[in-house]
Amino acid sequence: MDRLIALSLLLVFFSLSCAVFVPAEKAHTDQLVFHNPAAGKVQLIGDWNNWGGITGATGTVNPACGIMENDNGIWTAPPPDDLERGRYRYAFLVNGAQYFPDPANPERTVFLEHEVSVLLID
Amino acid sequence: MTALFLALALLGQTDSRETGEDGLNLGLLFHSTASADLKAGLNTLSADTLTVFPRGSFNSDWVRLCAEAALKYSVDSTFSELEPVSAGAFFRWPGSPWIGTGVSMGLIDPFLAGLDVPAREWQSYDVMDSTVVTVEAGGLLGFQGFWNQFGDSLSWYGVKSPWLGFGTLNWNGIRENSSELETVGGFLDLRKFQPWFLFVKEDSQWTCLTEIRGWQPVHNHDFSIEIAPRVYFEEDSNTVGLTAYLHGKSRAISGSLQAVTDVADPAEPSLHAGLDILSEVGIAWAVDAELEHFKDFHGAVSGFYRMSPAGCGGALEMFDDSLRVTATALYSPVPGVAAELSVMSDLNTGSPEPGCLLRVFGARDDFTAAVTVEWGDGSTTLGMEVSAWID
Repeated sequence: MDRLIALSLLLVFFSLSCAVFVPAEKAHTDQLVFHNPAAGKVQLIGDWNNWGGITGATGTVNPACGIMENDNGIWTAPPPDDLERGRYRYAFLVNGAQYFPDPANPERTVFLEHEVSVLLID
Repeated sequence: MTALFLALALLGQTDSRETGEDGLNLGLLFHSTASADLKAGLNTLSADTLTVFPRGSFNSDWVRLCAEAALKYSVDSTFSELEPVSAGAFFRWPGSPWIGTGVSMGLIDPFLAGLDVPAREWQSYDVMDSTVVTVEAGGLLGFQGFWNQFGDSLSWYGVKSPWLGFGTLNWNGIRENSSELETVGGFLDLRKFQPWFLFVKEDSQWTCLTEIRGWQPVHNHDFSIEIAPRVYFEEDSNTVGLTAYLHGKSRAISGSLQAVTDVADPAEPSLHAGLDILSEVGIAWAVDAELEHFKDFHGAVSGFYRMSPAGCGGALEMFDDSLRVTATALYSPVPGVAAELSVMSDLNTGSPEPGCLLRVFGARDDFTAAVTVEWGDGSTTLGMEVSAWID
């Protein structure tokens, strides 16, 4: 019963708070966007850059790899413009410690036990 | 006319290899992790890794040289060792970056892309210590090919087509001793939709995966709905699936609804639904639910309210008959520094003992640092990590 009440309250709160959505920050797929005002640094890492170095010989994320530009908590970066047609996995790495999938992209998968996004280049 | 066509095909090529800036580039990556068992005392603090990676590279129009080493230190300074991590020398035909050859170590890791999941994942082979001979050729009508030979037992090769005007085609393979994995994939652009396909041959067994993307029966100024059917013909099972994607155009919302079932047993499909929303008041909502064959259920609802300099949120996660609740608070006093406290508890256990996680991050440009304290299950551990890149 407690579980049902907790879930119901959460869903009611969810419904009320979502009554109005914020405008999309950017609709272009050539620019990846992540909203996080509290982050000190956000990196765009994925299959095209060896996940910042994780899949490389060192297994270490290079803190200089894929740094996104910050504009009042809205972090943006374009994916590489020379990607071949296909699917590429990527994620946002916040402060070198936390992995987040792209909230604007519903296509997801799992990589190294992290939920990540899939970029479709066509 | 043929010469003109060839010239246009050649000019259309780009070098897919990341070459960095021209000239000499030198840098240093510092990485260190440490941990301690706080119940046993802070004197258990020890550095797990303390490594400096000096790197150097030289790039020009026709040559790329690079090298990286690891200088590892022990905690008690009883030893320090320098070992090579990666090195490579690549030569390109001047003015035609798609023709070249090279020798390297620790730079190339075999990977075969798939339609849904990779046909062969990164780090599937222990090759980082192998010497790799690379040959790249192409340019003719825009086709490009490569061959990587790792020692004498493993090969990774492929040919990719240029944009053919109506689609693209790629062939890739990995051969290890007598085992062989090959893929042929690509897609057709039929304007209203794009059929994607991938044929996978592994040790003479074929798998065929197809998916249609891009069909949007509903699209307006605010959002669009894309319907993506897929069919996977595999050796032991054939599956069909249908995914509906919701793409927000003018509002921050996205979602998907997917059903996949085995043709031999269509009565027990796997269902998945996901929704992400950023609401007007600043709450980022994520809803995710997965039901496999009407047996295994996983569902999660999370919300996080961010308002500089602080934020808070909660998550409810369900696994079949268990329920986990997580509460998170975040405080960022200055840009680049944040502290996050998470408390989680499994509600279905008799006496739920919460687990706690406190993390303090610092990050700025080429520097990141994190301190983590985690307690629960009768133990308290401290973890620290520092990474810095120095040009």
